[in-house]
Amino acid sequence: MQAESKDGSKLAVILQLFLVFLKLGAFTFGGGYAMLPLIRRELGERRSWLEPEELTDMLAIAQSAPGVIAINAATFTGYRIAGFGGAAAAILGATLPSLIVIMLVAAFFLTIQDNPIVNHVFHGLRPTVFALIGIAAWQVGRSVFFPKAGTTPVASVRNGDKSRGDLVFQVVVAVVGLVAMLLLRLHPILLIVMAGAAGLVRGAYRRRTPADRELPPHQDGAE
Amino acid sequence: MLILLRLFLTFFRIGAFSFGGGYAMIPLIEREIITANHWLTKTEFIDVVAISQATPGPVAINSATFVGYKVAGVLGSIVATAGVVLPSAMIVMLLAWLFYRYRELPVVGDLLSGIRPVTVVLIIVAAISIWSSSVVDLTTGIIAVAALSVLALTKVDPLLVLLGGAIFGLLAR
Repeated sequence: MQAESKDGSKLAVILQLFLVFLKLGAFTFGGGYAMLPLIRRELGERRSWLEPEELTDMLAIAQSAPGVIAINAATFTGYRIAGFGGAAAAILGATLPSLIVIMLVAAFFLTIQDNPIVNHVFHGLRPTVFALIGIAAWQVGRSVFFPKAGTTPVASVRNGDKSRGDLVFQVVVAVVGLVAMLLLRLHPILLIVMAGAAGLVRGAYRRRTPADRELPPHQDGAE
Repeated sequence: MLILLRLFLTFFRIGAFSFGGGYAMIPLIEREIITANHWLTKTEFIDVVAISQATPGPVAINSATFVGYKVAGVLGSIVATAGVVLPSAMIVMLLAWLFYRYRELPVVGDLLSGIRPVTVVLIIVAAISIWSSSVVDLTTGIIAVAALSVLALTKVDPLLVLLGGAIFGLLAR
């Protein structure tokens, strides 16, 4: 799929990646998930630079890494198609539109901040933002604790649906985390590190004691 | 010069630990940008989140660009944005390489099994924090409840809900 033998054609691919992601970056508003079907269309259907299977991989990896899913998807796609240069081009393209727009908005906003009309507008906007976050908490919570079958994006969870032990573990981690954040003012980075460690410990423990595993035996090649 | 370095490092940290999407990053951004560095006030930050819904780009990147600009102009916004993007870009490339070599990464799966539940926690914490700065009187309380209801019960585009909030805010004074 990407057997460029000449430097010239690779450069052309990189330039095209930049332009494609420039277009994608300019038209993705709000949440980052909006970019994914657009990527599938531009790169999977219109250009067949990515196989459908690679698109699924992209989703898994983009959600497994920290950072914004749109940028991660761009990074992955660019990297798969044309290595480091491709990734850089894709990231640059995806980021440039918002960089420029927000700089302009910031310049403008900082001058009109004290305008009373602007104040009223944002006075009404802020509780709406709260509502958006509240809904997101519900939606993300549902997809994490009660995922639809086969939608777990984690790269190596291929054993099918969650077991009850998984859910209990998740709830315990979440409750402890919530208490720690609210009562102990734990730093978010510490929370993430400790939660990751908890996951690692549990994973290691589960692999050492197969009798405890509630999941069906791992089936290679069933993917 | 020092401020640019500080911008870069702060946003690098934020970018490296931002799991769970834009809203889950809010507690971390709040801790680093508002509490530690005082680069934004909390209400300014909520305003940036609102603006980010109507502009291209995810809220994480937009916050970086905005803060960077406010603190150190054009150069600041470039440095901050680069900072927030770099760690995840490196990790994605690393994961992509590992994934295609080893085909399965149980360590990643384990890490995420613990991290994913706390992303929900982070979003809840974000909601609580935003509540305290955004719902300050009866008007904003009504807007919050109305917006929540519309978002929960209908399929109205969030952008329209924001517009409604803005109009309500204008009219209610």
